[in-house]
Amino acid sequence: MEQIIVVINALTFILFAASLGVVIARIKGGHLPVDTGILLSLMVFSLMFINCSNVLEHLGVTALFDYYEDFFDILVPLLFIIFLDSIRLHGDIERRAANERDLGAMLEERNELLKEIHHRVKNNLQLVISLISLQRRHQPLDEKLEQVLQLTENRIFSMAAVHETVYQSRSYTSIPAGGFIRSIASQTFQNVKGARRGMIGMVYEIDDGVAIRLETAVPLGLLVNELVSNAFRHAFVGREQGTVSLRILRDGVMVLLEVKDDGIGMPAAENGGKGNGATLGSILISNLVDQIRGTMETVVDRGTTIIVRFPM
Amino acid sequence: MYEMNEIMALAFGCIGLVILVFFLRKRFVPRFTFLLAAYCCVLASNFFTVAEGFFLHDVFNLLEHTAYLASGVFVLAGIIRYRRKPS
Repeated sequence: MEQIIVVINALTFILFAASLGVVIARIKGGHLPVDTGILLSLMVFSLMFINCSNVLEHLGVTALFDYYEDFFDILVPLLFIIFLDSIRLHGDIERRAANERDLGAMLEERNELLKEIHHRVKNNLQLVISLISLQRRHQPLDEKLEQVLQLTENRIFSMAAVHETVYQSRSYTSIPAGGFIRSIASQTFQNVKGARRGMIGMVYEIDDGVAIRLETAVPLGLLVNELVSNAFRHAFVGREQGTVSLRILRDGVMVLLEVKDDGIGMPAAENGGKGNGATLGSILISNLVDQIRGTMETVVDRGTTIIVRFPM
Repeated sequence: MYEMNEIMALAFGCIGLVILVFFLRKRFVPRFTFLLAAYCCVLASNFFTVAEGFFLHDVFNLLEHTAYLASGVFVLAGIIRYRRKPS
């Protein structure tokens, strides 16, 4: 009987030793997390110790290990429960990491889609501009109608410029204002006959650090277009030379937009918002200022200065 | 004759088993069949250790060591079976 028990114990020892070897190999190969592997190793070691104690006791070598056998007997369930919990924790961490990866991929996809939408909107608006431009050039039109079409083109361009800036920017909550405002003002400047002749100059003072919310961008673009276009069309009537300056600066939590000309000064009718095309522009300006929750101030002194303040 | 430390080891093993069953039912911990079987074998071995002090000493002694051998087989099988993708 004793011999059978010794053989059984020897086999058990071989099995536990092999288990310990496999655990160490698993840790080294990265198939088992280090902390979990250590817990499992300790558990197998505890079982090995109990087994060794039995072997030595039955061989009659020593009963010394028997004193500590019960300690390891109690340690086995504790280590086993902690080992299982460690596996659960690692599973949770891996699942969370996978979820984060999925969310990141979804966010990336959403951003790409948004970018694509803004790109297509901008392209479609460009197409509308081209169609109007073609229509304007292919058919002889009276000056008034041509001017109206030109204004419409400029307004559509303002919207397209905003969409262009949005798809080029990384953020969809706020975009840098400098680029598209400069682009809109420059386009308006190019389309004014006087400017083409090089007699009216345009001066920019744009703080490139100004970033505005997306919902403010389109009305702001249209507003800049209206203000600059009004200045070019009305400020230099009967004059050969002049300068329009555009300033956009950060003023605390507000943004300051200033369009100034050194022309003849705004007539009273322009301020009233009644009557012809110019008045339509004034109504549009007033509505756009309301849309960006801003305030507008007009100063007529050796030209006209329009100051708009709105929140960032 | 029985020894108090053997009974204590058996008691702790049983408490551990109760906690394990509770955790497994609540799905707090993963279900490793082989390792759980190994744990049950260790517990059976503890039981046989206590039992051999009362009656059938030789039979329970043999069963105690056989249960340990079985736990060794289950531990090795459980460890070989458990594998995750290298990080």
